[in-house]
Amino acid sequence: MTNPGDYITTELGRQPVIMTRHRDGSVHVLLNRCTHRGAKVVNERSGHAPRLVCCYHGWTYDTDGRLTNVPVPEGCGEGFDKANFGLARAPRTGEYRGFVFASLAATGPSFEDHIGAMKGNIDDLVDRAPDGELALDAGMHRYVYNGNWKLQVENVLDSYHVPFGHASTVNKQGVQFARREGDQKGAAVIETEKKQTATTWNDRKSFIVGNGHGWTSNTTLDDGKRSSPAFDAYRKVLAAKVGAERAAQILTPRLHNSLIYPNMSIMGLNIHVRVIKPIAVDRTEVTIYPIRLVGAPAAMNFGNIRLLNVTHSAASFVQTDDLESFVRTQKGLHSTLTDWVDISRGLGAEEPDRELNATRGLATHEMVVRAQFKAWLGYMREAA
Amino acid sequence: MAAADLAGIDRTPFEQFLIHEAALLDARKFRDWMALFTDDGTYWVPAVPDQQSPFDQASLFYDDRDLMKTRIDRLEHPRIHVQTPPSRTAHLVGNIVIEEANDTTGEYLIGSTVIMVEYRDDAQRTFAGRQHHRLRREGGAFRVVQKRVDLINCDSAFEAMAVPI
Repeated sequence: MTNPGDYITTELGRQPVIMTRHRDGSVHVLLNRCTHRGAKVVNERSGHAPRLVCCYHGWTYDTDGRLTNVPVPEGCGEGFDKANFGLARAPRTGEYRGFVFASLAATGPSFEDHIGAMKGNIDDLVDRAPDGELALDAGMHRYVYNGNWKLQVENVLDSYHVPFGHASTVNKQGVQFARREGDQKGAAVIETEKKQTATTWNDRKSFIVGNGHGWTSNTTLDDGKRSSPAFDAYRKVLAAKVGAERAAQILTPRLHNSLIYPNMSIMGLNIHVRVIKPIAVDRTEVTIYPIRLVGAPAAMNFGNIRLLNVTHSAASFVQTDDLESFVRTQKGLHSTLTDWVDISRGLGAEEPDRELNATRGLATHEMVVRAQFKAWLGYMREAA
Repeated sequence: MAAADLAGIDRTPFEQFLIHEAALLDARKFRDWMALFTDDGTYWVPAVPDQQSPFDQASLFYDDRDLMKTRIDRLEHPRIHVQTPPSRTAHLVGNIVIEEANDTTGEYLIGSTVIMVEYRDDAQRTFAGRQHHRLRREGGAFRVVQKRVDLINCDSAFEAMAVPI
């Protein structure tokens, strides 16, 4: 959304919204509902319009949500004032490095307090772009499943499931297919001789920083050997922009998945941003945006986009087995003879990470799931 | 070749090829299906209507031979959860049109409409769209340089898809 008049439509939770770029450059998150008789005003997923016109009676709004025109205005009551009939807006929004966050709640923790340390995880992604900017203009992957939204949220930081859940993506040597531009091979997941999860996998760490947020440390790959014409050209461009030392720092993988609770994740391996939308208690829609690193050679961006098809499209090798697990979990949880699930792995094994100002556990433990439920319970209590 | 000349070409061998390809998919003979592709062959299912390129936009599938092999290794893996139980499919191919033909190079572009009904785990769903096969005559047989399937709902949100269309 670079130009005035650009818009996208989406949902905040289950509320239809329009996000617009106004003439003064400001971003507005508006309820996609005409203030007259309630019709959804914009029906396209994205586009460009100088004004937003309702299909039903032609009420017309400026891109900042102000009502500017009402056909046959003399029919409106004497006290009718257009100023009172602008599109409703998300009570609070926050922006960070091009990402716009919106809340439906008028009160509560501020954006800054909520996002807290997770700004660093956004930086980790955005800094990879030689021009310091991302473009989410490479389409999207959209998938749905018959399951609760929390199943996807838990999964993004769950490293325990990979050796079994994604067994079908691991070759006879216990190694997953290569997933990053320039990688010659993928991560070691299973020690096939011992028939056990690879030590490198078991050693992966996870981190929590309050509010339900967290991340997992990077997958151990053949770092240092990463090379392809596209990747080498990208590394060169990045180094020319930020210096060789800083480029090396940026390209040292720190993060695998990051979760900005409750509904956004960033993946550092097959770079993408994911937004999770609850539709019903047992229905969830997920949108995954490939990332174009602005300033990177086209071939590098093409490589990222191509590999994301393989891992995260609705027809991908990886995401599909997760979806099957979510659907089966939902089916299992519909049963009533037993109420409990077990998320106690690593309980008591958490330790402070003073350098990162976070709490650290093993990524194959369930500390992150407990942190998510703690945050969720807090929000539910506040709402009650 | 002009449209009038294209209309004069015998459609039968192309039709037989498309029916054979669909039968391999319905029989889950994925390796035989892959063998229909040239070494530089690609299988593409775009994620937006009229997608211009598989490189700068997300796609549902964009597999070269290496990725096709990884996909099929996975489809044959005993622990592919999303195929436990496996999908059963029925492809219907029709409305076949020879859109380009070059007898000198032996390359042809064949458009057709495909409907695939998929049943799995007590649920049935339908995929439909226009597909294009770029075929190359090698020896006595056709091989696929590119198969592109433009689903009418390509930009919708899908439940997990495991088998090629």
